[in-house]
Amino acid sequence: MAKLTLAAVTLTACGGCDVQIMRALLHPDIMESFEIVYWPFAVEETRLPEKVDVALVNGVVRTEEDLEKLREVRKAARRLIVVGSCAGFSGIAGQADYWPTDASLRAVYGKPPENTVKVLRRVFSPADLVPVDYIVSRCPPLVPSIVSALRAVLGKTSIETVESTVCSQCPRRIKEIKEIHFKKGMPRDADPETCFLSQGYLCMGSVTLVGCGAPCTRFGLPCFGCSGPSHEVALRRDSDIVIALARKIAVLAGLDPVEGAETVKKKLLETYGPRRFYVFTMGSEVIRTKPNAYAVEAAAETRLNPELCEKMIETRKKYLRR
Amino acid sequence: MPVKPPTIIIDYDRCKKCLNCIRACTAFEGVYEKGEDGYPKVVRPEYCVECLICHLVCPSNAITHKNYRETLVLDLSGLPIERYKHIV
Amino acid sequence: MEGRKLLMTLLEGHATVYIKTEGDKIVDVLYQGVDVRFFETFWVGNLVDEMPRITPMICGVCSATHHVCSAKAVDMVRGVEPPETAIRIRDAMNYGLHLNNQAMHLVALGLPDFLPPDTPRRSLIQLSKARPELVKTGLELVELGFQVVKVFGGRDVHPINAIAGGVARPPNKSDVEKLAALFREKEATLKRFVEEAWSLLQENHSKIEKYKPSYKYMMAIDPGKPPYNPSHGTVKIIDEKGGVKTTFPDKGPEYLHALDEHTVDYSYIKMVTPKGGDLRSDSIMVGALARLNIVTDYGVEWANELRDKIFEEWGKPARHTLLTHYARIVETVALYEILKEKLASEDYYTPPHANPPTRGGGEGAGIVEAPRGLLIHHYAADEASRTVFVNIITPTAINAAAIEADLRNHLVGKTLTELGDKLYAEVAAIVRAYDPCMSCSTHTALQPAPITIRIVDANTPIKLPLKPPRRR
Ligand code: SF4
Ligand code: SF4
Ligand code: SF4
Ligand code: SF4
Ligand code: SF4
Repeated sequence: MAKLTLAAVTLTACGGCDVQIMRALLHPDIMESFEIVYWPFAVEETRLPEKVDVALVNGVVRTEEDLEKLREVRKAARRLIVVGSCAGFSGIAGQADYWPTDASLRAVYGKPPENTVKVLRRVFSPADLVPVDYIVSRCPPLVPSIVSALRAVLGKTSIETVESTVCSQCPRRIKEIKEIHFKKGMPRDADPETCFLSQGYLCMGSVTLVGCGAPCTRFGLPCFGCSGPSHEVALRRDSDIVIALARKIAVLAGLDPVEGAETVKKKLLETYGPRRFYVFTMGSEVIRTKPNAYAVEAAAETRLNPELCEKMIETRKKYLRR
Repeated sequence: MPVKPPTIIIDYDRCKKCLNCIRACTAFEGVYEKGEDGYPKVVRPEYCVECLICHLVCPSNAITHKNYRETLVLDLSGLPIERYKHIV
Repeated sequence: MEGRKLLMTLLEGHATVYIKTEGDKIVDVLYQGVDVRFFETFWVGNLVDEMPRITPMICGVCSATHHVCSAKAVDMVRGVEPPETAIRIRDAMNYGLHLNNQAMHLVALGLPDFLPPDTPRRSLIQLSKARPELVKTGLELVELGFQVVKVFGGRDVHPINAIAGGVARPPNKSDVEKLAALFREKEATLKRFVEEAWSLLQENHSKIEKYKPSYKYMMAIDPGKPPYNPSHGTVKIIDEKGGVKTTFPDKGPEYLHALDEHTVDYSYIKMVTPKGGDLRSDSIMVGALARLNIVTDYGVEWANELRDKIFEEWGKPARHTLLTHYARIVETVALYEILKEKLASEDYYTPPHANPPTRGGGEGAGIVEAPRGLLIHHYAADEASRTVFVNIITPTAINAAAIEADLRNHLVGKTLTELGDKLYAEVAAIVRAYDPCMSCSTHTALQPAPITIRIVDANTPIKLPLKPPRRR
């Protein structure tokens, strides 16, 4: 069988995805079946070919050039796989949307630099802009997931999606909640055997896509949602991260799944602020377009209060001026 | 209402024994009961009113209803659905 | 008026090199870095305790270093000293990451550059055809480094274990024992790797000699006493002769008195010089080569011997830019041996693993060595532990001025005709030696393809074309 050609394209990203792609491509059967024709991270080849069989895209669309590149690779690729939370759901880079882009530029550079590529006014995830064939989620994406996606493209295996959440892989035991009270900060004194939700800490496990094996909760830290939203949250238009989480917590506390959930939701938003629930999904259209989501609300906070931005900029100046 | 009661399957590999399903079930008598091993058991599927609230409160998405609404998806565009078919 | 545009590869992230010409003659070279994800603003308002989980995503290649550095800064912000055990665990994470990165850089990014320039698609894969043993052993070391980070940090990329005041969990004892056994087993792999890499560099003596250094200072953390440790010590800046110019501690905002950040209008990188320095003449180089000259004793005899060989051949301080590749080999040896020793004997299990914070928030800065050089995280938080200020200076930002100086020194005065097709290789060799990790430069901005070389008339204001360049 002739080798399939493969191109890997990095938009605005951290390089973690590139590292994981490298580890995936080093699998002997993958190495045999694909010929890498373009991959700036590790191959000295400067031109994206007109046609490639498979393209792996990682990173977010942050600038005009990212956008161009994404269009180019979508046109060229027969199959397009996006890799990482950034590419699937805007990932950590989406957090930047909390502040207006101008404010961020001013805070870091004083005057926004002019002689350079234009930054878009918000962050986009590639999966929102062009049709994609597969998403390999998670930050960083797991090597076996990338490998299985590539094998599926080869037609060797098929992949089934598992509609579950991180909780199903977490060893912690869920117990009834006695009192609705949320604690801020790191769970230093938490019991290592018991679910964080039962102990009053925020854990995003029950609204986050399954697959990572819950390394965080095993290491004594709550899940913060790096895999992206679970199927339930993403597919139901009436659902959202906050309300889905609140509903589960409410029932754990013996409250009504509808009315009780509203109370819990209010409490959650009060304690953590809306932004905290969208650490990896703030820029994703899947979440932003939901009527019940708070992602847009979180971003509106700074837009409605320009003083917040000014304060942030001033504080930064103060600390750097010595 | 379907004539045949739905088949309710709990995936015990995923189940966390949190018993949210028992607490939330809308049916008068309750469809689930706690078994001796601590896992919820489907004991009265014929009472199920198919509200599917148990799906929503389950932290690990362990419950499936068969012979009933195949899909829960209310999104009209269909785009995210397509997308979620292919998540690895 | 634009001439050729060259696109550059084998780098993490994106950057552009502008070559300004008058007629055919090169008159200036500017280095523009890119990537705006605003790590310095977006967490403002959220809990400062979560910074160590967020900042690794600045760079997935050296995530563990960001993690450790961030934890060090947060310790200070929250007014807490981590217990000994926690410091050992964090150090192990950083050691593992350095081992992983130095080996990875050599096989995947740096050494392919020493293949003949006419090799098509120079890469790890081509290198593995020419030097199968080198790549095989190198990749084994890379995985070994990942394993260390995973055992101590919870995840191999973007670790999570370090928190304010210590670490969340001790590593699993059986995992550490397995690792220690692996390190004992793979000693031969390391030997083979070092031999192969060293000989490849030896064959390229003339290439290394060609690129004369023109940066001025070097900066690195000096641990003071052996063994070599990238996580603690005093930061030293040395001049061309090796004399110490400035020192500052590895904790706290004193770095602001020693370093200046400059905003330049052509780049999103804020370049760094010593306080009051001139951007064009006072550049600083950081990274493996700077450490080679500043660390007095690696605490590993083999590494010290290799280093002395370099000094013998190239003088002390050793300054030729491409010597960084040698320095990486030396560090690989040192890191491997230190880890082997520590994994077998150190105690990671005696509690406590974290001390409670003594205040809600304040100001704090942590400085550690990342594989590519000095890394500074500087935060402040209010009483409710909400982040109010973040400043991060990455090695790439510090090196930017040095890269520019080296490029200028090498190219200015030459003509495009004379350089011809070699221009790409020339620029590539210098830039890659620094291994600028453009994604990690938080103060830098955007651009899809890694390094682009643009040739512009000296009088033309710099403007980027809207379309990304397509052809070499
Ligand atoms: S998804 Fe994570 S690992 Fe991948 S580029 Fe984004 S931040 Fe980096
Ligand atoms: S909510 Fe978090 S701690 Fe609780 S079971 Fe789920 S993943 Fe584990
Ligand atoms: S537990 Fe949560 S935060 Fe941790 S890796 Fe899994 S999805 Fe990501
Ligand atoms: S709600 Fe889900 S996880 Fe909880 S007991 Fe029922 S089936 Fe198990
Ligand atoms: S669908 Fe409704 S009635 Fe049926 S088992 Fe679930 S909660 Fe009970």
